Amino acid sequence: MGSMLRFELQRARSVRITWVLLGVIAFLTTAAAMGGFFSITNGPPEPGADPVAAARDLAGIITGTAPFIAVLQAVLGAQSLDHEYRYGTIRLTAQAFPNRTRLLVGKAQAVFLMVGGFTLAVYAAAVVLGAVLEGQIDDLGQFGLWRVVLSGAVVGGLWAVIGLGLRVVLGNIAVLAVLVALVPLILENMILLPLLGKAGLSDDTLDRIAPFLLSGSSFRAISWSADEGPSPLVALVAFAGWAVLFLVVANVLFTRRDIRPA
Amino acid sequence: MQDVPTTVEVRGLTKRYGDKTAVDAASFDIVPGVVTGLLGPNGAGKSTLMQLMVGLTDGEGQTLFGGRPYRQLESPGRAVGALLDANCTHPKRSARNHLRMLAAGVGVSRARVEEVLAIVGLDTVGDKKAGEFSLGMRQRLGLASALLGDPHMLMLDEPANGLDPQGVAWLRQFLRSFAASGRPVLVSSHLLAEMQMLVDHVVVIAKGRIVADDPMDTFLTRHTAASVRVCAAHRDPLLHALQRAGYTVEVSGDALYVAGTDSAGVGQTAFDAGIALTELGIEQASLEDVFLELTGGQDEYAGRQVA
Repeated sequence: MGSMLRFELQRARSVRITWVLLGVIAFLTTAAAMGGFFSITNGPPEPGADPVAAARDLAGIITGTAPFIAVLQAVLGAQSLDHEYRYGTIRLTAQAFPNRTRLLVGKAQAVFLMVGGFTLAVYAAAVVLGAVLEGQIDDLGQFGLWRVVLSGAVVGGLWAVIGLGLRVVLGNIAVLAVLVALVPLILENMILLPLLGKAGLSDDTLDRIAPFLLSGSSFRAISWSADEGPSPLVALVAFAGWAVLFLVVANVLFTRRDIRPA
Repeated sequence: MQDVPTTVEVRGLTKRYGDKTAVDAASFDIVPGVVTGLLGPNGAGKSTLMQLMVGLTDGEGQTLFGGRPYRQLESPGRAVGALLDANCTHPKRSARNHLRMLAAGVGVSRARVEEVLAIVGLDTVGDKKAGEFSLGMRQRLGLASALLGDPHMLMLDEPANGLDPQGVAWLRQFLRSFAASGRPVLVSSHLLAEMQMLVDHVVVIAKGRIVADDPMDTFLTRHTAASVRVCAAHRDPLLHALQRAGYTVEVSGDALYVAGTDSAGVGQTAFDAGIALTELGIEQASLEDVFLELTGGQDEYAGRQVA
């Protein structure tokens, strides 16, 4: 694992697209944090302001960009293989790591740690920035705010793993990006759930199902509260299950195909 | 793989693409201390065979490196240094970064990167992007990547492609030196004259089948029957005299090629017939001749002669 992680980090940092994608994630998150706080705060907090509400706002603003960032995170994960196929270095990688399953799992671990770690750093920076802007810096460690940040990092890493798996299945990074971007809007909310509703499932049942769907579980995992339905932790486990499922399917295909540059 | 380089055993490797058999039950050994040449025309199956050996493509049969398949080697980059395609580089990545990435995978230090850059003569251009390299420089970079793990064995697919004459001479000397340290080397090529000078043992493949597997000397002796080239001022009387003497004679322009005897025999026959010779010598078939004989009609990509 150590050599695979070092290999992947060296590979990723020596190509420009990695820095471009990470930069866009950092920009979007930071811009959302600053823009959000400037729009909801009007100067220093008033005495007696509700710190819980402030923390909730903070979490909501920071994770508000998650649907957009998910696409970038998935593309970052997919790049781990796509770049290698495009330029033929996959042959050298497969020679260094000839067990295909270990190669794929190693890449999944590497992109999870890399993207998750970066997302954690960006979210944490946005929290600190937001807290400073909102004047709640003293309450930073309270109200479960860091749980949202940590979940966001894990979800980000898992989106990268899903992107990696989808790259193996689809073989095309553009199709992958469109698919990840459209899953929440179309496949789940506009197609799957209405279809299930027409099939006779009640609204209550649909509400219980939604947080376990692919994007539904990812958004639920980084939500602030869990007054109804499964807890964010349960949703996070469900989302991790989706990532593992994608990885298993990808592994079946990856181990059966010859290693040939695109 | 064991610490001591051992014979690499190729056993029954077969690869099919639908109805087409790219490699057909290929079996041979690659012996330590010996440079083995894998020769074949374009499309013969050389590259596919090498990819099968290291598991880049799946098929039947197996290749054992020290008794173990490639995928089961604990540290494949240290056991086998393989250059299967010199173009496997990111064009915007520097040679040094390319090697550093691979070094992380093989598990060697960055100091080793500098060593191999120096070995292949790219140390002064290590920060240059691979996309700016000539084919010859990319071959050297590919060789550097194969050498990163100081492997027990080298496998190089067409490593002389794109090298200038000095580069080819350097490669020849390097591979000789590598093999002299007791390690096996497998080199594929269709540059037959180069292989004739480089390899100790030759495996010839055509249409996926191994058609020869011999030490180079034995191979040349077995497949290259020497003939006597003789010219005379009056060709036809000499031709008739040689045929009367029972020799097989081929006519090529002004020259006659006589099989089944030596120059003394031809000279004696001409002397007995009172014919003055203008030229007399032994004609040894080159590896190209042998190669064409063994693979004749099997190079499916061969161009047709213009009428």
